[in-house]
Amino acid sequence: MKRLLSMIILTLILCCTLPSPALAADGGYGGPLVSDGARCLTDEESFALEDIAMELSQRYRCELYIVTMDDMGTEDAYAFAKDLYREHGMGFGTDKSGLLFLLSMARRDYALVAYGYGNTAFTDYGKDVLLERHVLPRLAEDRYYDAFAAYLNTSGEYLAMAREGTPFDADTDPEQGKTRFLIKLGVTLLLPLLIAGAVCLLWLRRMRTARPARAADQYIPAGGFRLTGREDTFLFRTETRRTIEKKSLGGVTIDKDGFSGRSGKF
Amino acid sequence: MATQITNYQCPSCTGPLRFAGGSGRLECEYCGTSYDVAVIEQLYADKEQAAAGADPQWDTSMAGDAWSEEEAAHIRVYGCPSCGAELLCDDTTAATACPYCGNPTVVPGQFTGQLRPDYVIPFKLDKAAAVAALKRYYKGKRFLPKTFADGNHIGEVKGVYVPFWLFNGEADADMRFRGTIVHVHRTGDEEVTVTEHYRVARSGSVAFERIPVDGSSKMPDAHMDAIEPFAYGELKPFSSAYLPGFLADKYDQDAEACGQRANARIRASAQDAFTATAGGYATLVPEHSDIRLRRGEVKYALLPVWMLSTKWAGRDFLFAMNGQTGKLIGDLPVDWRKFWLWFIGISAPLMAALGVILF
Repeated sequence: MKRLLSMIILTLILCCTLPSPALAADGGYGGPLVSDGARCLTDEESFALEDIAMELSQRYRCELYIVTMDDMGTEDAYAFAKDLYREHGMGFGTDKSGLLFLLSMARRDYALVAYGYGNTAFTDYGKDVLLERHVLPRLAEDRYYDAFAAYLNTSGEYLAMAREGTPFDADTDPEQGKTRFLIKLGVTLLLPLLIAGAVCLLWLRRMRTARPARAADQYIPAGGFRLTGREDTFLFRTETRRTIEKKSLGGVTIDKDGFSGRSGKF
Repeated sequence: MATQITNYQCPSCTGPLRFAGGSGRLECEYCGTSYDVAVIEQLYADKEQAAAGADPQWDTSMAGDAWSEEEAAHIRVYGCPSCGAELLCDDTTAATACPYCGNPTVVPGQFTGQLRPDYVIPFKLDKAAAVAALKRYYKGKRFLPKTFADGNHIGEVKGVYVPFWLFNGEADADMRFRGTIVHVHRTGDEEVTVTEHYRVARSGSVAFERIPVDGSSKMPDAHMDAIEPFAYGELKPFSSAYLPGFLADKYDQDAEACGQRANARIRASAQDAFTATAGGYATLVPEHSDIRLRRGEVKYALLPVWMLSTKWAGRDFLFAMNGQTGKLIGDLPVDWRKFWLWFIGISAPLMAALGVILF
């Protein structure tokens, strides 16, 4: 019931906001791209973001949405965002390409869902970087305009890369590229030095064979070692837990409804 | 100060006899006749008996101005029975060679009483084998200076019967460790590491037989340790008949002093042996170690060692070869330019190959 109410309120907000005639005429959603139901933004900020979103959506034929709301109830943010996307017919063109970023302020939930060409341009790794490197740090400080602007600008860069045939992914991320380069450089320089050092020290050791004996193992006669006491007593047990970092191997994971994305708390 | 000495002479031609490691017999260099050690021992038994009973006849007071008391205490003069020359050597020399006539000479008085060795392992390898072993030792040593390897730098080659103490003993040990066993499993998105802590206790005993420790301060300990082991199956009851043709020293470090080195080796081996029984632990930290030594009998033996010395670039290099097994050890000079060239020569192509693969 609460979910239904939330959807109705959100629908009213979306309908009351000025439509985007240019996009509608060109195969777009027609509704607003930025819907600030939670009033996180000033009107000026909202208009500015709408202009950026519209420009990028037109240029790359993939719509970028920002939706904020007060409370979406107890529903999972990812499922809610998918329902919103489908029920409002969001997306550009016949394949409904788009990316929706949803915030619910009551429990500080967020969801990011992609559909159509959005799945091509926004890989799993790309979405992780978009959120964790550009958006979530700003949201954590309640810098909503900055966070949404970063979302749009970064999304624009991803779309540009995707249209050029190389979607942003683990293997095309310049930051990852720098790290990989440094690791490769380190391996290329250090591993040969270690191997050469080990080999040379081994050869050097063969030239210095006059060494004092440390032990006398070879003088223990057969049967000379007698083990009369052997006791292994369990004392206590300790346990440590570590969260396994998920490493994206590239590509995108699309669910049975054709969406990809993730949700969480900001 | 002087005493009498014995050199074994051929019963046929009176030429000097030398012990030949290859045949295990005493051989005459002049007429080629060889004799069983026991036969010669029997022939010389009476002569040695007489020599042992005789008192020194030299008037040492005449040499008082030439040697200090301290020097005199460590110097012995012997008359070579072959050419009559006076041989000067220290008080630990038991067999030597006359520098004038080359006669191999044994000083039986040095082994009388408590100093007489229990065992001897005769030389099996001769001087030529020692020289060949040293040349082989040079081979494959990549950092050896070319001038060292190319030149004939082998200076002195001496076959020495080195005095060794052979220690028997037993170690009783009580050891405690703190051990851990680690299990890692995955639950959902978490990696769970469970560490089980154990108290590990081991006790028992370890016996040791004939740990050799050289009793000669003239011999570097590291060299003597490194040429081990000797095959004790070839230990023979001591007879001076094995000594001709080689140098022989008596000990100048007694068993009590050398026992410390044997004790240290026993402790290390006992610790290693009991630690090895506590396998299966990821970590094993010793908490308590009580190793009590029970001393057994100590025997005194002369073991065969070829000592090879050489001088290069103003430095002395000493090599030792086990006269029984042929194991040769020693520290060689290092050409550091070659070391770094090899270091670069190995690392640079590897870097290039990795660069091609990774970039």
